[in-house]
Amino acid sequence: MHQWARRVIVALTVAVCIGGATNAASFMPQEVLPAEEIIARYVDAIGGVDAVRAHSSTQAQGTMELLGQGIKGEMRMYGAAPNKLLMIVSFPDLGIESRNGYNGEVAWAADPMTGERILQGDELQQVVDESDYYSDLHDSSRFQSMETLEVTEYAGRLAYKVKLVYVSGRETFEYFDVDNGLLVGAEGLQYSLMGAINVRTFTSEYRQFGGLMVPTKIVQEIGPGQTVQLTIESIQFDSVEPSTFALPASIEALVG
Amino acid sequence: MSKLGRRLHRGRSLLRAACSVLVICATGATAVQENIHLETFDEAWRIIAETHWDPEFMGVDWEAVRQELRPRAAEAASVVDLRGVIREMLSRLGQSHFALWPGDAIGNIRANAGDTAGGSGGDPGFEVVLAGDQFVVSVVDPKGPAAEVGVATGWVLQRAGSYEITGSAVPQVEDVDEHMLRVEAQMAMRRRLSGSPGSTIRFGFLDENDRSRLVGIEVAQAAGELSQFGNLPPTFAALESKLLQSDSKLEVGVITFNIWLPVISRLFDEAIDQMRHADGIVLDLRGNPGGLGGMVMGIGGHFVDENLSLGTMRTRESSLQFITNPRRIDTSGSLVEPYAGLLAILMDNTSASTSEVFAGGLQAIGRARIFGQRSMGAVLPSLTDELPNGDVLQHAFADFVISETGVRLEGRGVIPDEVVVVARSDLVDGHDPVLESAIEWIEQHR
Repeated sequence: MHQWARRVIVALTVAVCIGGATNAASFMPQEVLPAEEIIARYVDAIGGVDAVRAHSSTQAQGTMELLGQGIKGEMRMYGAAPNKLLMIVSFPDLGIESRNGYNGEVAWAADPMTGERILQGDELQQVVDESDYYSDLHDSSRFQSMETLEVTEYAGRLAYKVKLVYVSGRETFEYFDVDNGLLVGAEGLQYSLMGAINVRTFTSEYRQFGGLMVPTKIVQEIGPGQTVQLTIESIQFDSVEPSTFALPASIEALVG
Repeated sequence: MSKLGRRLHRGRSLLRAACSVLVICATGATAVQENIHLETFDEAWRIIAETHWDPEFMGVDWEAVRQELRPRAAEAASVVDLRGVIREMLSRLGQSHFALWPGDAIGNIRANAGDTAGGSGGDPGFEVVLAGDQFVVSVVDPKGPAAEVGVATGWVLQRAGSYEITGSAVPQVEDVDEHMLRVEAQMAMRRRLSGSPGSTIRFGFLDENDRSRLVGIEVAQAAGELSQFGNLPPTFAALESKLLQSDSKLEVGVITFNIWLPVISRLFDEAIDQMRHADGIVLDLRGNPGGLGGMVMGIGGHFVDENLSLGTMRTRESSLQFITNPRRIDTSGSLVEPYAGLLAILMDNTSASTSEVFAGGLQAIGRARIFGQRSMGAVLPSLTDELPNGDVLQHAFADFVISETGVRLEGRGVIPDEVVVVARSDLVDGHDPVLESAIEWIEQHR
């Protein structure tokens, strides 16, 4: 799952998740593969190591919708090697434009409702953990451990459940399709100003962009009744200007 | 087909179905109606079953409620009847922020942004408060339609359209909390006063000399910017700010806003920039029904120089906190300190939800002093979901407590530090005793 897909939603909505995968595939006992092998299958499934490393920046456009709430926004996401991020989400009906960024040193957030702020503590660590532009490769130096827990059902698919523990100690669980090796989702705590929230993510409708398979539908369950859907409409590689990740003047002022 | 188109389509289908029912069977539901009614009822029940923060539903047997009311939903002869059944289901919980919004009304609003819910949402140019057991005019917009026909503060409201007030304006109901009766009376009166822009409402008053006056007021468009949050009806969001000079030559900033919607945030930031030097600031949240809870973190950060929790939202699985974000950047992008002067907040019985979270939280950490009347006591965080028949269900998914004290505000409200009772004589004399008490406190403690 691309770096921005992991954390795009939580900055805007909060709560905890309830489970509820439907249309379950029939369960068949499966051999539990080692985590490293599952990751390798995944990397092959999305195009291979060379295809991932062929790019050094990404720009994506799409929409974000709070399902059932009548709230829909436009989204632009930028990422660049080694670890830069910028996400801009605007909700024209609400008069909100929310920005979150990381320039490799400073993680920040700005929206009209809460104002500008520099991320600290768990929020900062989460960004640092997930900022690797080549996160699809799951570089082992970024993790304390990777362990396959079981074969289970997730999003209606039979999937390997892999527990990942970052060097920071933060845990996350990723689910990889037994059949095709692709990531079908993830779950774990996400941190916001309001605290930690358990989030379940479902990735689907993979399409090829720039030699890579990318999920274009990302659904996150963030609490009782709160479901957010991210739809990727277009992706361009290797065209992001480095200045995109420069700190806004107000954040510069806060940094001092 | 667009969402609105689907709603209108459903509306027409229901209308056709309703006409058929009139001809074929005056009381029963058609099979088509029964299906959509049951589907809608079941969905409303399910949403609450899965999202209510208390799996025990605060002692209500939710399954038994379904068993009892589902047959009535199936037999509902019209969408109006169905809404009655669903609203009865919601009322069994006895909590705020559970409501059913007619989808056709919301569709009409969206189709014509100049109008508002069910022909209401306009502004007659005056406001009333409950003084004792009378509704008394407390504010008259000098440029509004009420001022044009001579309405003045201190007048007692006796009639609004066909609604006549004889005796006490607050109903007397045995075994019902008087606070809740006063809240209900004021909320109902607010709806009666609004009317549809362009329509004329006949109002009856007792003037300052107790003479009867009957006037027709053409309701104006509400002031402010039309703003919409998701499935909820569009609302006019307005903020006013001014700097007053007190008797002892102190400068006091006063900010009044009518709802917590994002469009207010920027206006609030600008208002604060104009009064950073003031000796005190008064936030007037009287009549403010709430809005986006998350806004308390940003607005609160204008008055608190650290990350402090104003309140805790508890769902089935977690606790999330409304943490202030100290606002150290002004609207020009310059570095500033959050306002550290005296802060007073004005509340009344109709101050609700986010207004209560904000005021209750700042009161608990000792940052603000509250003046006026006890607030409504309706603070539960809620979501809205569109139901199969196009109606919209508002449902609370979390409980809320003040982090500092653990006090639960639902049903209790924020208790003012200084209860200020408004008398008709104050209003006749052009006084606002609640605001004056706050300014006096600022003068004494500056």
